[in-house]
Amino acid sequence: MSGATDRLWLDALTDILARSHLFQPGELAEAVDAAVAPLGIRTTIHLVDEEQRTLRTVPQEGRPASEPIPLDVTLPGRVFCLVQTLPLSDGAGWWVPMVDGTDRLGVVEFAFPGGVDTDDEVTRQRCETMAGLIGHLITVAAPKGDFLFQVRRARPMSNSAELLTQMLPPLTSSCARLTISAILEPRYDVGGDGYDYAVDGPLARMTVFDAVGHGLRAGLALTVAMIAIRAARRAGHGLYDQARAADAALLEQFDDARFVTAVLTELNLDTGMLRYINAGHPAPLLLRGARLVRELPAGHRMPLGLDDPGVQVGEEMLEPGDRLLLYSDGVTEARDAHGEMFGTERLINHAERHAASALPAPETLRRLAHAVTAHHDGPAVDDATLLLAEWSPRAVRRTLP
Amino acid sequence: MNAGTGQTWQSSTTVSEGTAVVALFGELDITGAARLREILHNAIDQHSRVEVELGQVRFVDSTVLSTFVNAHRHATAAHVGFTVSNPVGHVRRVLTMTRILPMLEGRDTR
Repeated sequence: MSGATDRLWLDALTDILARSHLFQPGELAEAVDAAVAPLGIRTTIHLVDEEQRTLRTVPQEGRPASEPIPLDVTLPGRVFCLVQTLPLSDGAGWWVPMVDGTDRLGVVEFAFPGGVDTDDEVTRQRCETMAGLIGHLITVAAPKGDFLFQVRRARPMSNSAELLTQMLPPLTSSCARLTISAILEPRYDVGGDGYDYAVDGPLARMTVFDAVGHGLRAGLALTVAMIAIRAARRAGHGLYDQARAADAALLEQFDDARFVTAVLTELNLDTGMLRYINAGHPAPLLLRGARLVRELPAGHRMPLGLDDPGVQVGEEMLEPGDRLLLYSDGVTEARDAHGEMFGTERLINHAERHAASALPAPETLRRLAHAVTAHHDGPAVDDATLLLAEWSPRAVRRTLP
Repeated sequence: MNAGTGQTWQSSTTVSEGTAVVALFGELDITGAARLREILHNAIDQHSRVEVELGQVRFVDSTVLSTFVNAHRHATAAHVGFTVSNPVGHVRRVLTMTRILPMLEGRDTR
């Protein structure tokens, strides 16, 4: 690559960054496209829909509207799922995964109408850097307006799902030693299920929740439990006190025995010591290699909100490479047309199979969640949540472009 | 005998010597929670002991568990005994998993 071309890339990056302060969400795609035009590149940004089934193109002035691109059978879908750059089918450019950190947002299409050598690694890496910048900018620009939320949605969201959208941390987050990924269904109508995590220094704190009932009432109970735990955590309190803070907050807000089941965990990445409390929730699954080691049996207490002071925090020593899978009962109790539940055994089978195929953690969960949805038959869907933590640098690398 | 309404479940209440036995049948979820609450609270308000017979219940969701806990609180405040008995299958599993069963069976010594 010549110095002149390098200079054009620098100009493009500088131009986008300089203009980003004032971007409206709807201006971003065109600004990026204009900034890379001197390089002979046309960019198109595709965002994954909320249910992670299709890529939806961010509209640009003067471009024809396009249909959603299914993830399961297409080249750009494969790029998204595996977080891996691939050449366009005509060989004149690349599909590049777009992440914020390691949270999968979509893919960016870099087309070189004048042709490009797709073996040119430097140019490919430049495109990946640009896609990374676009991912950050989308995350920053999105809350300024509704446009990018609307692009990602195939239909309107319920009030409770809208609330959750504001409450939850990104679906996927990695640090050098750990990948955490989560998924929620039904994404447009989720009520009382949720997850939270925080990784600081050696401590990874991960929680999944399931509040009684459906709709916004369940979403409010979930919110009360989640923010009480967050506040206690940020005040430096441990697992036991976090759970007691949620008890107190729920009892203060609700007088109808409205409870929230949850698993609160704290993994020490230096030692592998996992400490956990299981407040009336399905037991976490521990996978080693591609095999289930055990369902973690300790740390039991009644659900959050039922004021249970008598709990012993469970402890389990993890080995490097271990996977921890937290889930809500909406996963295992999803029933098919004959009333048969998805069941813990089927969940374990799927988890073991995906562990063997070495997919990125968010892709493992996407496929697991869709298997549950496919099993389910009928309208009254219970919320289903999955959270997968992989304590492995190799698993972390799989989440990087 | 009072027949409860609802497509997926029924109830019947029998009384002897001050104890009301509320027998439930079928699958109970959020759609029946309000009706169940009314049945249980009525029984608690009228009798000195209430026993909920669960042997014929095949499914309960978390709103039903919450309704049981709420009835237990209501009964305790009114000094009325309130217990559930004979949960089987899925119902026993969720009551056990949530650690609510000892309280509802009157075995909770805390």
